[in-house]
This record gives sequence, structure tokens and C-alpha cells, in this order.
Amino acid sequence: MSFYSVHFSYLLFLFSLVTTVCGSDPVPDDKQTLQFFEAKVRPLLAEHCFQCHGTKKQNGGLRLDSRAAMLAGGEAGPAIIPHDPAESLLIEAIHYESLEMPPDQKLSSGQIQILTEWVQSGAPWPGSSEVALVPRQHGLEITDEDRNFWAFRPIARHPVPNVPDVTWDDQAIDGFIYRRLLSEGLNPSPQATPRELIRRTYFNLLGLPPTPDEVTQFEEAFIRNPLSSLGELIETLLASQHYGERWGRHWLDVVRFAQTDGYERDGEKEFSWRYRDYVIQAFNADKPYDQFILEQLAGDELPEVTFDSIIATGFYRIGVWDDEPDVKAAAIYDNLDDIIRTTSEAFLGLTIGCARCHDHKFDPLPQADYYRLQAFFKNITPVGTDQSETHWKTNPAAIYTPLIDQQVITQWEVTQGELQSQLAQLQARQENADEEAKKRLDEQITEIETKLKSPSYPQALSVREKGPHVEDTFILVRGNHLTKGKQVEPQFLSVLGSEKANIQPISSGGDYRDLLRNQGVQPTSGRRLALAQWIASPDNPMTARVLVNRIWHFHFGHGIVATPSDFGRTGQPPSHPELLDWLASELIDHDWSIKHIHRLILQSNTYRQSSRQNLDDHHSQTKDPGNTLLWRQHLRRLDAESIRDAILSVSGKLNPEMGGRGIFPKLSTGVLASQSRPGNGWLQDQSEIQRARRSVYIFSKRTLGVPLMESLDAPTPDKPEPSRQTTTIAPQALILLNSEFMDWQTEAFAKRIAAEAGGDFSNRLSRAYRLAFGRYPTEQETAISSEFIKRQESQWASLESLNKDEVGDRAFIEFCRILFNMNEFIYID
Amino acid sequence: MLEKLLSPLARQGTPNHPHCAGSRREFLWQLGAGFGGLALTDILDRDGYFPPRAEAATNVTEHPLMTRAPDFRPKAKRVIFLFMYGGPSQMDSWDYKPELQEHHGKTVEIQTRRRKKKTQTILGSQRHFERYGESGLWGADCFPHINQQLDEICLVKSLYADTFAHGSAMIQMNSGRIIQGHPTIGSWLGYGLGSENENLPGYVVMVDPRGGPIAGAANWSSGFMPAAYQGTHLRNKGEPILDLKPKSGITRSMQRDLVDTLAMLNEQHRKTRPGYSELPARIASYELAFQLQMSAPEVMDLATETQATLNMYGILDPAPEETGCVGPEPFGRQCLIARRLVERGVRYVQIYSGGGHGDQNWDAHGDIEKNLRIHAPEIDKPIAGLIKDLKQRGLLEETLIVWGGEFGRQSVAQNGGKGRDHNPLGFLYWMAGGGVKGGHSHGETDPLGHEATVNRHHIRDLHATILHLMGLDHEKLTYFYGGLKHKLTGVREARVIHDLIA
Repeated sequence: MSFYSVHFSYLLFLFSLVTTVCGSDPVPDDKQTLQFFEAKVRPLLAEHCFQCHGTKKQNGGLRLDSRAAMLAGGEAGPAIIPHDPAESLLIEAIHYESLEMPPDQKLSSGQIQILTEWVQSGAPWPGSSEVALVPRQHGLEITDEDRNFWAFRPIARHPVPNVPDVTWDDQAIDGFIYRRLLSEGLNPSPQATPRELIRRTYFNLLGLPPTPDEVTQFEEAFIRNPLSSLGELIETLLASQHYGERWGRHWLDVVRFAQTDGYERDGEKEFSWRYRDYVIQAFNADKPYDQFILEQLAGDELPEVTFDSIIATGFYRIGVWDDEPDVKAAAIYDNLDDIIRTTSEAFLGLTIGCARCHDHKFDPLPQADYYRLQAFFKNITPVGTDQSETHWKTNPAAIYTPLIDQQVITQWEVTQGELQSQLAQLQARQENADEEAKKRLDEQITEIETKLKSPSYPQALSVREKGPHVEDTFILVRGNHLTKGKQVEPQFLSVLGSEKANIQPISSGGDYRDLLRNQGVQPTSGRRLALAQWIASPDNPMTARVLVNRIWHFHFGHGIVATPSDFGRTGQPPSHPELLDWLASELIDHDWSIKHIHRLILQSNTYRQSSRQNLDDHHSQTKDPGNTLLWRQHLRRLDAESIRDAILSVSGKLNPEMGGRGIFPKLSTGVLASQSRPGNGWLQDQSEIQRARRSVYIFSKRTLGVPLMESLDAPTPDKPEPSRQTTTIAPQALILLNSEFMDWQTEAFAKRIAAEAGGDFSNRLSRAYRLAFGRYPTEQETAISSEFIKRQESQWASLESLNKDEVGDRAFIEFCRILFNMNEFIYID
Repeated sequence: MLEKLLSPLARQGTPNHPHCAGSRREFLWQLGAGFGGLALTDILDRDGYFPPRAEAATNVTEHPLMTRAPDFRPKAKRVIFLFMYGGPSQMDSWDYKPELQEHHGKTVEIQTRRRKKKTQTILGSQRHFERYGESGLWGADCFPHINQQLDEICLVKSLYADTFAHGSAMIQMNSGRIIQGHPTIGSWLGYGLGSENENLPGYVVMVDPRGGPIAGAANWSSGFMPAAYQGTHLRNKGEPILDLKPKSGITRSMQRDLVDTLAMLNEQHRKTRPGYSELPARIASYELAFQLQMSAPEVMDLATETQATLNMYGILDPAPEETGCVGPEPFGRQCLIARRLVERGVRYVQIYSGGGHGDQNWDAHGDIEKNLRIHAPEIDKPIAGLIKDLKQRGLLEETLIVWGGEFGRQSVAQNGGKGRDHNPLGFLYWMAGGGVKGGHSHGETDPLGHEATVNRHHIRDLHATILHLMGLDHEKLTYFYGGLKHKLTGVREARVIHDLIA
């Protein structure tokens, strides 16, 4: 543990001392200093350091047994900077400030002084030559080769390749895909059937299955005119409210959306749901992606601030937040780190978070770039303020912005006036009141005071700045908040040109912003707007590429770049770089319309291919077993939300209500028992109708997941998640067979079938298959199903005193359970 | 078989991107189902489910828990982590400090919360200490049964951690990081070694009957790893595993029929979709789930245990007359279940002593004596019983028991009272079995027991040691996420504490 305050004053004292002793003479070779080295320094190093940093072992890639080795340093950089103990890692480490060396026991203060003095005097080492001792350049040099890495090159619109196959020549995307297949000798697959196509498109765009009628109609229309019927289908689905619920969910993964803080109290982030609703609406409205970026990063700094743009800045507030950090000064940087990582991964596809403590190990992202990026966010008011010794209480003035217009203000002022006069009256009455009356009045006064404190208008979880003046930003050596390095200014990434940001403080932004200013909302620095504009620019090579790749990823199950949030060297290179660029140009040229990209992809032959594998096509199977080049579609398991939503939809229970705080699926007492306060923060008594809403509205609580969702690979929302895992584990089967939710849903499904198909068994069976899979059962399936139901009926009959109808119902419910559990239900062709 | 599965995937990533292609292990987890990946693969292979080429034709993660070889010969095969939630006191248990007792009531300037030095009153331990066993390790009289086992126990008295707050300290003890969102120890072991039992989860957590620890399930989260690596909460009451059995009233034979019919219908579907190994894997997962309905209750069912065994764990003992004390029965039962779990090859079992808030757990702010009166008898006989029982069954050698909390407690009275505040500056853990030295003590705190001074170890060293005993190199066990190879021990250098190892 470090007692930093003690060390710091001690160091200051020591430095002044050393300076007076050694003066500023940089030449370290006089006899006296060398003697000092042999007598004091070398034995000390030999006893405490060489064992792990010498000839035998080089922990952390570091040797300390020569001056050259110290200067060359290890993984963390040079161990010493001659004449500069304050910047020397060795000295930092022996003070136990960042590293703690030697690890077994701290050196005595006398020993620390010896090494400090030695570094201060230039670290003289007998026999060493200055020539070889040039310290490695601080900061990473960015080369032309770095700039020429595919992801950093400007987006180039390549001509669409011609396709010799006439059936594949109508969509541009196909040209790129087909040419590559041709060159690799791979055979594209035949088209999917209309039924497969409509189910694929429905689940892909809405996360819901089509109704039996929709399937039939589409099948008929498709036979008449495949392209126009498909085009119409796509337009219908893109216009559905459910589209935003599906694709908004993808975005919520990428930005680590959740509605609580995490940690011990896991408090609710009030109004965070507005951000979720904003995202859904943005997708539904096909909000231009550049606007979407500007609003989330700088919605409070735009020329025209709107309710939406303020709500969008909730982006900054939805991450993990420790309300009781051990070291608040460090926690501020952890919060900024969460923002930096999320911003760079989500929008830029870069893992700049790796450069917090040192230059990025693989990408041309120097540590300075991390802090230059941090400077853009430096003025965001931390989520809380120090109101108690250990806890960071939420400070409403720092994070909530009222959603108000002049009318609301006027109304509130009137209410305020009324309340205040009531208050004055009560206070006057209190003066002459007896004890008992006083108590009553006290209660009334408190009530009014509470009302005055909590205005009745709606609010948004949002970003606030402290005013136009921004604290300086420093590189933190090894990421440690206590070791400040060079000062940096807000500046864009070096490898992408590194221009200095043009930053203007912002105090106005339309009527709403003026209103907010009158309500005490401070002007802002304008830094985030500059950053947002740089990211949302057609000239930024990352932004459009990263987005179209995400869209591609969710259409095909893997992206053109298989690592959607990492376009650096640790990520994968694009399988079709020219196609990626072509799509990116299309996005930019069509006003950053996401729906435009959907249309291009969904109408392509590539997308419409069958997912069935031809195992006799040995060449394709061995050449590209992972199907990276898309010689077929992928059979894909639905994600957790789509599985739950499909069940609700098929059972007929789905409640399409949108928006609001969210829904709280019923959790068993056993699940709640994992909490230190069982049931805390979870509504227990929501109505069944509310609980039948779509999964995107499930209240996202960081320390309490819904088992159905968790088991089906819904991610923990603590970190940005660019793609879902797909695991197959036994607990999924248990939950999908035995949970209360499934009991509820199978019963509803059975009732629905009975109501829609009447008493005839084969009608019921057909209806069930059509609802669940959009098709009729085969003869074999009919046989297997009816035999199962017969066996179950006879078992039920022997089990309880049920009448014939009840026995039939029970058996059919179990059959419905089978349908929900079938692979065909959750794997989409 | 394994290599055959691996090669196509490995080919995709390796040549140009050695660092991101990941370790062999990173590909293995993409291939292994749920409880018992190995067994599943065997089933599939036996049934000829895997066609000749297409095994790895998809990038889905089917067999995350396939059994995998350790880096080197392990000392321990399984871990039972006894987590004293709230932070147990070192100076009232096995870090005997005569000077602390001697100076009881005097004032001292001491670091209480981080960087805050305050003049405080020394609170000497009221416990009586004696030497036990051949090793002569000191023990406090509130743990009479565990003290009898001190010759099996290896004390580490000089640990320190980074935070004074329960929330982040719990997360750090379990995941190595104070920031939420990283995989926990059991997840790393599942990822590194896979599971040995096809019918039981590889990572099991049991919580106190009074409630879970703060931050709840975040303590056994798999963080950014797949959900298959998260801890499974084994419940004391009702169903041991969530949704284990049908509630609709159908019998086991009826559900057998259901699962068989489901498999038949799924088979119709699979036949027309060759080449997708995830389809047979999911079919098999239903069979595993069906088996689990028998194997999970069987583990929980103590009816086959003898009276003597139950007695050894304190399960038959009444609760002492102390308000808030639930007696040794619940924890004893969990310790015995833990033995039954490790007998069946479960890799990592974690039991929480203490739940909820305040004196419901080891968080002795108000009165250390009262807190000890509540919790010491709850764990003393059960833990001693567990050690004895594992030993007599020959299981102790390969089962590592780990005992400790999220931090320790201070040597001074909190606010002049009788309680002790949190203390991450110095605290003790002990381990037993699993290749550690018995009757051994490592490291020292200062004379007041407040801060680790001799052979200090950050808890990342404890984590590295646990992995090492399990045959894993903490430097090599990495998981690639967000552009970085993550380790349980983080980016700072961690050292295996070799002095603990027999």
C-alpha cells in the first residue's frame, strides 16, 4: 500500500537536496560518483534486483544489470531517465507507487535515497559507454507503413465487378462476392425457398416470426414475381416498429447499455430507459448515422439541441459505475476509460483502451493518443459528487437534464409559487402551535419541501459539463493517476492525420438550449462536438466501414471484418476489402442511411442463398469450411431475445407496447436469493400483460440477470459487446423445458391452437406447425406427434382424475412444449 | 479427433496473426456442450454424428467445457473455496499478536481508510490463543475444531488487496480486478481445464441461507467469457438447480417420452441439414439435461451419508443461543455437498459463509466478539469435518481448500467501539490439501496485525498460486477480448508463492 502524500513531500525534499548537492552537472564520470556506485548502488541492485532482472531471469522483459539495459528498459519502457528520478520507472517502483519493487519487501528510505540520488546524478556506471545509451524514443513513431494499413487508408469506391452468371448480375454486392468465389473455385449455393426467405428476413429484421398467413401470401407473390415481392416484404418490415426494437438491441450491446450501476448497491440509473427508447426510435426513423453519432457524443453541443439529442448523451452514463470507489481520483479515470473504450470500439473499431498504460502493442496508437482522446471528455461532470466519506452519491444537477419547454417552465413556476406561499403559511402557523400541532406541521412542511426539490417535469439521463473552462489533461505514466507526465491537448488520432481539433466553447443551441441555460445548465467546452464531427465525417476512414461491417455482421452472422469492434492488427483483415469500401461509400452517399444498406444486402443473391450444405461439394467444404467467402448462407441460432420473443409471438401473448422503464420477468425466490437483499431493485408484481412485452424492454440490471436470457448468451452488459456468443449447454434445455415462463407459454400456445383450429386433431396439428415453423407437418411428423399425444393422454388419464377433455389438453400442452424446444424453432435456415 | 476438429479453424487465423489466432485453448473452447463437453463429443462420435469434414464448418461455440490438459502436472484437481463474506478478522483467528493484546486500549496513529491516518484506540483480541499440533501454529479459541486440523493447514498471513469497499473487494477477490465485468476464478478454471463430469456443472456456488453476498451473481460471473463458464448457483432449498424438474405434473417416464420424441423430431430436421454440428450438439444437450435431473438431486441428497459423517460436519448440532447465529447445520450441509461434488469431479465449488448485510456476515463493525459468536460456530465444525472427511477418503491430496474473505480487519476499534473496520492492508488466507504444506505459516503482519510487512503478497499472487496448484501457468492462461490477452492476474506481475507448496 502506498502512503502517497508522505512519499510525495519526501520526494520533493529529496530532490531539492540532491539538486543542491549535485548541481546541474550532467557528466557522471568523476571518481567520487563511481565510488558511490560501487560502494552503495551496485550491492543494492545485486541484492534486491538482479535475481529477477539479471542474467537468469528478465521479468517484464527487463534487466537491471547494466546501464544500457536499464535505459533500454522492459515492457513498461525505460527503467531510468538519467538525471530525472521523477520520470524514472525504477524510482517509481521502489516507492511502491505503481509497480511495487522489490516485491517481497520495500526498500528502506535510506536505500531509496541512494538509488534516487544515483539516477539524479545521471546514473553513472563504470565501463559503460554513452554511445550505445540513447534511450528509446519516448512515444511511438508512426510510419508510412502504419498509415498504409488497410483500415487507415481512405475509403475508395471500387468499380463493381461484372458477373458472368446472368442469375447473379442484378445486385452490386453479388459482383464482389461472386468474383471472389469464382477466383477460389467455389460454387455459390442455390437460392433459399420462399418460406426460408421470409422467415430469415423476418427474424433478421424484426426478431419475430411471420404469421402463417404472411408466409402463404409471400410464397404466392414470390412465385409471380420474386424480386418485387421481396422488395415489398423488405419495405414492410423496415417500416415496422419491431425493426427498431431488433436493430436497436444490436446497438445497445455495442454501447454496454444497462439500467443500473453495478457493484454493491447496483442502484438504478433513472431515466436510462429513455436512451434505449431513443435508440429504437432512431433506427425506426432511419436517423442518418452521422446524426446518430453527433447526438450521442455531443447532443448538448449541437447548433440545435433537442430533447432527443439530450437523451442521446445518456451514452456516457449507461456504463458500470462504482459509487463507493476506494480511490475517487483513480475512479474518475476508470470512468473516463469506460467512455474512451466504448467510443473508440463502437464508432472507430479501435481498441485504444490498450494504450492507457503504454503505447498500443500492435496498433499505431501511442499512449499520448489515448490521453488526447481523454482530453475531449475531460470536462464531463463525474457521475456523482463527494457527499459522504466513502460513497459517491448521485448528484442530479450533474447528470439529469430537464426535458422542458417554456410552457412547462411557466407551469412549474406557477406551481412553485403556490407551494412557496403554502410553505410560508405553514411556517407562520408553526410559531404559535403546540407540540402536537408542530409535529403535524413539520410533516406537511417536509412534504412541500420535497415537492419543491423534485420538479414535476420529465428528465433525461445526460451529460453535463462544468463550464467552458477545462482542466488540463496529462499523460499518466503507466496509467497511474498519481504519476502525471506530459500535458496533452485534445487531438485526433495520430495515425489518421492527427489534426488539432478546432474547438469553440458553446453556450447557445436553439431555444431549448437557451431555456436550459436559464435553468442553470452551464455552457460547454465544445470539445465533444469537435470529436463527434471528426468521427461522423465522410473523410474518417473508420466510421462508415465499421458501421457497414456491423450491419453485414448481423445479416450474415459474421462480418466482412470478423472482429467488428477491432479493425486493428489484433483484429481480422476484411475478407472482401473492396466490398467493404463500396458499402461504406454507399452509406455516405446515401445520407448515412442504414436502411439503404439493409436493402442492398437483403436483395442480393448472396443473402438469398440457401444455408443447406452440399457435402458432396468437397472442394467448397475443404477450401472454405468456415464459409468466410459466403458460398452459402449460415444456419443460425436465434439470440436470446428473439427466442423469447418468438415464443411470445407464437403463443399469441406478445404485447407490442413500446418504451418506458421496462419489464420485470418473474424470477423465482431461488434466483433472487443470490442477492444480498433478495428482491432488491426488481419489481415482483408486474402484470402478465406487461411481462409479455418484447425482450428489449427487460429491465437491464447489472447484478441480476434473467436466467432464460443469460443462459442463451445474452451478454453481461459491463463491457461493449460487438457480437454474441452461441453456446449449447444443458441448463438452456432445463429452462426451455421446465421454467414457469415456458409453462405459461406452452399453455397459452395450446389454448390458442384450440381456439383457432377447433377440435379436429389434424387441424390442430397443422395450425401448430404453421404457427411455429410456417409450414405443414410431414406425414412422418404427423405420425410421431400423434403417437406422442396418445401416449401422454393415456398417462395423464392414469395419473389424475381428469376428464377426457382435460387429458387431451394436458397432452397437447406437452406437445406444444416439444415444438418450442425443437431445433427448427430456434435455428433459422 | 481433437486435432481433426481444430485444424480448419486454426488455419483461418494463424498465419498472419499469430497473437490474435489465440492459444490452442481459445479454439478449444469454441468446440466443447455445457456440462461435460468431453462426454458429449464422445456420444456424438460414437453415434457417428460428426460427418467427416464439416465439424468445424461453423464458428459457433459448442463445446466450451471439453476436458483439457493442464500446462504441467497439477498438484490439485479441484478447489473448494470457503468465502467468508464481509471480511473475517485475522487477529482474532490465526494471526496471533501478543503485542496487540498487550497494548489494548492505548492509542496509535494508524492508517484506517486509504491514506487517512488517524489516532485510534487499539483493540486487542479478547480471544485466547494456544499452539496446536506438531507444527505448533497458533489458533484462537473460537475455532476449536479447525485448530485441531492446523497441521493440515497452510497460513498466508501477509496478503493485501486494493480496496476498502466490499463491492469492489469482492469482485477483486473473485476476478482479480476491482472493475466489474471480468471472469471469476471458477470461470478461468473451466476455460483452462474444462469439466470432468458430464452431468454436473463444473463451477458450483452455494450461498448463505441469510442471502447472497453483495453484488450477487457478479461474484460468479464469467465476465466477457461465454456464459458456459459462469458459476451455477446450487440452491439450499427447493430445486438445487434452476428449473431442474417439470412443474406441470408430468412424471419422469412421461418426460423421458417427451425428450425422446423431441429427439426424433429434431432428427428429421437434422437429416435435411447435414454439416451443422450444433444441431446434434443441441439434441445431446437435452439428454444431458434429463440426466442432470437425477444427478443433481443425488448430490444434494445426504440420506446415504452415515450418522458419523453428518456428526463430523456438525449437521446434527443445534444452533448456539446467540441472536443471528444459524448454527453449523447449513454450512455443514454445504461443506458435505461440496465433498460430494468434488468426489464427482466438479472443478470449483465456492461456498459463502455470511450473506446479506451487517452481522449477517463477517462484517464486524459493531462488536467483533458478538460477530465471532455468531459466525465462528457456524463454520468451525463443518470445516474441520470437511478436512477430516476428505483426508480419510484420500481426497484431500488433490482437493485444494481455500479459506478467506474479501479483506481482513483493523487492529483498532472502529469509532471507539468494540468493532473493527475493513482492512485490505494486511489479512490472512489459509489453504489445505491440494499440494500445499500442512502446518506451515508464510508471511507476517506488523506487530499489531494491521499491515502486511514480511513476504507481502498481493492477492494476485494467491490467484497465481491457485492456478499453479491446478497445473496452470497464470502467464499462459489468457483469453483474448477487446484487443487484449486477459489474465486472471491482470497486467501487473504476479508470482506463485512457492513457499506454500509442498
